[in-house]
Amino acid sequence: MTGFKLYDKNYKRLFILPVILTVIFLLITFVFPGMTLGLDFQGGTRVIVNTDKLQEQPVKDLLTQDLGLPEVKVSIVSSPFGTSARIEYAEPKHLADARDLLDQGVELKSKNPDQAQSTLLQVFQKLSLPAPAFTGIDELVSAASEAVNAESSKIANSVRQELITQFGLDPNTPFTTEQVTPTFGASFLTNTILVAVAGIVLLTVVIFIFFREFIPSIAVVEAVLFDMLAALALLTLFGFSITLSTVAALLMMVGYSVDTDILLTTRLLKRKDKTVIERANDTLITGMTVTATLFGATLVMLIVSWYSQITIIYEISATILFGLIGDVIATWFTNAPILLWYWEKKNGSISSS
Amino acid sequence: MTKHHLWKNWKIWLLAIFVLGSLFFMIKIDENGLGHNLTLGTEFKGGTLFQLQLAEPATASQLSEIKIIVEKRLNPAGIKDVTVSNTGDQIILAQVAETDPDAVENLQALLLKQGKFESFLNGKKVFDGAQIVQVIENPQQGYGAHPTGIGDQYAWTLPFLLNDTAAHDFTQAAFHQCTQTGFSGGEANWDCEATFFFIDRPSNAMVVYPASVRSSDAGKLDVTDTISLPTGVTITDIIENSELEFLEPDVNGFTPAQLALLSTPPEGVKKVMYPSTLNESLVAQLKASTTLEVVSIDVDPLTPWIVDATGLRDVISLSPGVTGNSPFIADAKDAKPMQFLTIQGTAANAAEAKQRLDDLRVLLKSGALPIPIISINKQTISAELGEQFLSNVWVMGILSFIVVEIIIFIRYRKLRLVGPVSLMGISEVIMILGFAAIVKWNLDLASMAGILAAVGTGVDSAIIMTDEILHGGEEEHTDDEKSMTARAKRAFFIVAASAATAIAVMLPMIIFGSGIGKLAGFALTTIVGVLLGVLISRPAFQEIIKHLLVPKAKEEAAAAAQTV
Repeated sequence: MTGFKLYDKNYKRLFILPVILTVIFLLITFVFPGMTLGLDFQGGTRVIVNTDKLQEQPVKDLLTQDLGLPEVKVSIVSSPFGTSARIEYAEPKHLADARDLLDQGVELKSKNPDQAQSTLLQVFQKLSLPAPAFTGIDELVSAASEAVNAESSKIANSVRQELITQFGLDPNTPFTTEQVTPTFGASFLTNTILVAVAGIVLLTVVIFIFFREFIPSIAVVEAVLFDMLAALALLTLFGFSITLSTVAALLMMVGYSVDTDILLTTRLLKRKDKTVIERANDTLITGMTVTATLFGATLVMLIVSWYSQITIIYEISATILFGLIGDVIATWFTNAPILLWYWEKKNGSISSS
Repeated sequence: MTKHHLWKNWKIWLLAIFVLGSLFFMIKIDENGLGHNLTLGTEFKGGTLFQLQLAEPATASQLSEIKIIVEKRLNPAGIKDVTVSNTGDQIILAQVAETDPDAVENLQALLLKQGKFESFLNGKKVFDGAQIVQVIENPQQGYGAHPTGIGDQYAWTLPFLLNDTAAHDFTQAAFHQCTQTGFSGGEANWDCEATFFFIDRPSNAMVVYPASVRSSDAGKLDVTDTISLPTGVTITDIIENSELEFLEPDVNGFTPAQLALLSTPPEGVKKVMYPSTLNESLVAQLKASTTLEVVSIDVDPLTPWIVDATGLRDVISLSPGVTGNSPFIADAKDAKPMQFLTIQGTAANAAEAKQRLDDLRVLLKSGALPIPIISINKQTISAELGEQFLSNVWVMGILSFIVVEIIIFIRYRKLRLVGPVSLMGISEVIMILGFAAIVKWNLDLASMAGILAAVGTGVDSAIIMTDEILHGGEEEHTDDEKSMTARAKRAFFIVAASAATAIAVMLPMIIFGSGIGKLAGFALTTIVGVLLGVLISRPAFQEIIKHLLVPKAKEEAAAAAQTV
């Protein structure tokens, strides 16, 4: 057998890379720059306009200075599919405050109706609107959410109108808008954490059922967790925010990355031909073929979805791509050495043949 | 192994049956030629998706109530393309084929409306939502529908209870409002006045109603199929019963009297509504002559504009029983206030009767949501962009496929592998789409991403199976058939284990995932794809490559044996 051989009897030195990377990835994800929650979890509005008349800085200035909107992000994408501008902004403070009050009011509704009433009345104050005549607490909730919604519509409308008049767009230019309210975002976040934790627990159970050996199973689970961390860190590094799509893709990616781990575990522990080191080296080639194929396919998805501004697929493919990079390290630099070490403990030391 | 063996293999047949079955459910052939039965989401057709968050979790019956109300609000006349569903017990999803930003804003405002019910008779309000004590939904008290025995026809009854004041007012207003028109079959025929039901009648508005819109409305009213109002209702009836000021500009624009009304409006009037088709000079004149809020209301091609503008929802005829005509009561003073009223009718079949009951029940309950909506997310995609998305997803799928094939070819240098890998990938896509067609799954971008992802795991498995059979290890030196089976078994263990893991990790997204609305599609298509893959297409793929690679593997083994 010729060719590159990663594994020899000094396989333990391979652990160094993942250990260093784990520290770096943890720092990137949680310390600096630190992952940011995207539109889905924080709330906000995203507008995609198919036109070549918008430029990044002027649009940003218009939204930030003239319209007083916070957290404005603008990017212009030119591609064979045409040029489009992608604009994101959050709600201005008075509206965000009004929404908070509305949420508090709803929360208090059954516990303390009086306090709920006064909280809900403040919603109108925040929006500089006359308070409605009090009829009932449910009616007040409806009236308050109607008012909050009207204000948010007003802002969306003025953004559209200003873009049309300031940049001379055709009034019929199609706008693709996506609006997530912070209230929704918060509940999305809770649900997503629940789903992710439950997913990881189930995954661990399934791995243990299949392998029935403690160390190899733990090694696979560890590899999966490393993949997720790597994906999160790389997303953060490349300026992606965490959204519903990226979390879903993180979980999906497990299905991809676990293949190579299972392949490796099966070949090292269940096959008996050649030496365990040779088997590891053979498996590396198969595994890398799998990863390279998926990498290629995902890269195509990433590029096409970027140029055509399909946000959801763009985010999903970026996550999978980053996860696959993590998977190369997790499988071949951690899982494989762990399994070699485990094999050695069980079957005596490895001699290079 | 020969071809003979392959065609006898049940795994191949199973795949063939599933693929053909999926194609059968997916493809639609009708007078328009070849089409498909897939439900494409707003993202591909263009339209708006609303996500509504309720203030608190709803019970199952509240949910169905809320869905009916939301549907009614978005689609009062029942003619637009609207679908309403829920995910979990606190989120309602509503899709509308509407992309005009102003219209979308209006719909959004409409969703949040409180919903005020009013009933008018002869131009006078007879009762409103607050005066309805109870809408009776208990079949033992008369609620429900039953067959009449004539064809499929069903008769339905909706009883409701008024409070004392409303019962008195209604009884007096309805007194002797029927006239006998003749006899047939030994029974009297009656012609009765009707009550007009409104939701959120714009009681603080004046209405600009040009003659052109009025005549086109009259035309639309005659086509009774398109709206749920009974025949015989005229524009004049609606104007009289809506208790609003209507301004009909003449050829020279607004008359001096109308202009006076606009500049010094009656007390309580806050806005002026006009049809969106009103000509520009009149709009300008209107805006110049009043300080009131001026609101444009869209003209729908099928619904009479006045119905949309006034919030008219239903017209129900009185019956001689409630008007004191039959049995005959001579003096209105002797008519007992009727608290317990029923609305009755017949429908062509059971489904229509149920629909009618649902609509009216919701209407009488003021169309008010049992739980307020506190927050709305929305996503609007223009139709042209939607089409572009769809073609881009195709481009993405096809390019990814080509890349996969190229890499596989580079790695194994066997053109023979390209066919089976494509076959497997395509059959998995077809099976997922077939499933989507059967369960009428709404295919959005997330679902498409899920399909691509699921097929990706298929490609994964294909490489592992191929590799295991080609470079299977020690067994290749022993008996061919046996070693092949052993290697295939081990390969499939890997494939099954990874599929099980993928499904396990995604499963919670479906089980608890009600709160992550738009990704439900991603989770579902991925899980279904992986499941169909591991049970149907991947076993078949393994049989095919075993068949294709065995002679080759044998030769290689022989060659290897010679060189040793």
